[in-house]
Amino acid sequence: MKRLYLTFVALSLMWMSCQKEDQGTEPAPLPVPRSFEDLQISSQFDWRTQADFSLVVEGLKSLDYAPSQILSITDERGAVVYRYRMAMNQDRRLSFQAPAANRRMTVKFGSIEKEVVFSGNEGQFDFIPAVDNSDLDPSDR
Amino acid sequence: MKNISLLSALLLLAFSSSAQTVSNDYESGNRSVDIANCWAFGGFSVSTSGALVGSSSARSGSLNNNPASFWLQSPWLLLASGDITLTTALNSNDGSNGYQMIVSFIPYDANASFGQGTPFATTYTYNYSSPHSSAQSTNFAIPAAIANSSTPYKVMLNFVSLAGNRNRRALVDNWSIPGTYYADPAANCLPQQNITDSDGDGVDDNNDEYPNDPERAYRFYLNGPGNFTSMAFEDLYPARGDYDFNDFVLDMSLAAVVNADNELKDVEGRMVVRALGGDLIRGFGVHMPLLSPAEVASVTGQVLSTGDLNIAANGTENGQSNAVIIFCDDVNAIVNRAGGAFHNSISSNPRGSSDTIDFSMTLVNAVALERVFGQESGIFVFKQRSQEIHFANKQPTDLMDQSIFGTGDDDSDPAANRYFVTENNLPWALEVPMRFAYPEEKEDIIGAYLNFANWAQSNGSASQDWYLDLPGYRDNSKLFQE
Repeated sequence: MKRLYLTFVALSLMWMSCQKEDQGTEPAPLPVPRSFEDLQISSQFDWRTQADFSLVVEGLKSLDYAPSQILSITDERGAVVYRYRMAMNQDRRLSFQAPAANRRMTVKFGSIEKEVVFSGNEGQFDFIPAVDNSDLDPSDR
Repeated sequence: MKNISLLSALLLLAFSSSAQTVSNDYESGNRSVDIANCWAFGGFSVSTSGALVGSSSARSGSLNNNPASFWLQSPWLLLASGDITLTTALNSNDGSNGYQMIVSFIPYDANASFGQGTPFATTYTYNYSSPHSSAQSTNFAIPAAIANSSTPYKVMLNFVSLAGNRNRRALVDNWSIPGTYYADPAANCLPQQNITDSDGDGVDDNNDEYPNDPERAYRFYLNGPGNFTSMAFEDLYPARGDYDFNDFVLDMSLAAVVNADNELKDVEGRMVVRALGGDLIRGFGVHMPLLSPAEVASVTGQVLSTGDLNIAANGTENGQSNAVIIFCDDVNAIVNRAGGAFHNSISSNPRGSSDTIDFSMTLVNAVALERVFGQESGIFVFKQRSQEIHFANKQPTDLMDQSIFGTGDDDSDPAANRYFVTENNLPWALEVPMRFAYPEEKEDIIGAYLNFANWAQSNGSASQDWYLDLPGYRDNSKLFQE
């Protein structure tokens, strides 16, 4: 019985150590082949260096006056890669292409400018400013 | 008829009177939302604590004897005649009666800081009455001298405790101001500008890059202004190549001209052939499967010198069910091969030159951008006209000799929508979203770009910027030296 118990404990420890290692390790990249012909490529790979991005724009519905302006998207290189004319109270889902490596892009609508983080090639934008609350009582911030 | 006129007049009056009040009940519950609507705050939050009306009110910090510490402002308004009404209170009673709200009117002055000129002479002072914590409705007449003026004004409320800080906060709710909202939330909340729309397309001339053309409103570059995208091809298709991706290198910059509804009207482009690491490629064009030839009104800038192709009057290629535009049917007409057959692909050879092609395509009717710039469209090159080479999984044109598919190393399968890839999914073309520093003749791209293999083998999820000129990214000795 004691031997059985020790075996169980040993197996449990082995299993736990395997679990820990699995959680902390990402799959190792495939070795770099010597030539293009030897690349191991997924059959789904599309070879695109640009990606399709989506920006979900939430319009500001409470506006008494909703100006129409051109919303522009500037990528991490500082290049304006998309422009779209819309009213400030409209909801939109904008689709555009940009170099796939982009993670943060700047969205500008008139005087309103925000940096948007793209996760899974999708970002969210609204017209509500990031407000400096330093004028407020500390209990109200 | 008289009755109809009378009814119309009454309706107009009803709308104009309802439209002439600007109000804020702070029910957004979030002062950032109110600020986005051009209401301004100094030391006030929007809080549910002690709300006077509804679920939230504007609430100050502890008042002091400095009136500049705590204030509220309306957006820019064109004030009408009548009374401003609001509800206010303190958060708790106090034996002292020295609590005041001062009402003033600020005119717009283009030369003043934030456009805020010297306040109008008439101000009002409201003394809070006891019990201070009871909601107190009050009203103030808009001075006749500024009512119905064409000058925009802001209404400002300042709050003060004459006895200094006695830990009392002001609460404000349900502003109602006779007048018309006149701020522009997309222009730093400054007053709206008079709108002129010369071409009647609904876009103000100040925002219209084509103010006298109702079919066009603005333009943007797909890869950013001044930036090129490079298209790099291998030319031995359907056989594998040497994968130096310099057999045909084309730099391209594209701009979309769109109308007020964000639909595409024109495409403008600039192209330069930078390298021809061989003499197999004869011409190049674009295939737009989501656009029919008849939707193209005209094309300019094509370099067609052979007379071998059948081009329609609108610039599209005849015999195609989808729009195909051939930009050049003989690259030798635009390239000066100073280095022999290998044009700018061997660094030790003399440099050749290439003409720039500026082209444009105008559509009969504007269409959704995706129909031209979507994933279905693609640049292609050809040897004989029937021997096209496209990017991976782009459809061939109708003039492609489809008997080539499946020959050599090609593993195209039209039934599976699989085109221009080998059995192990290797392509004959790459696109790089910048001016591509392409490999030297016979140098495999894997040796020249040290992160390329990681990018490709990760299915494009790693090393997505493999083409950049960053430390550790390139072996410059294997790149063509320009």
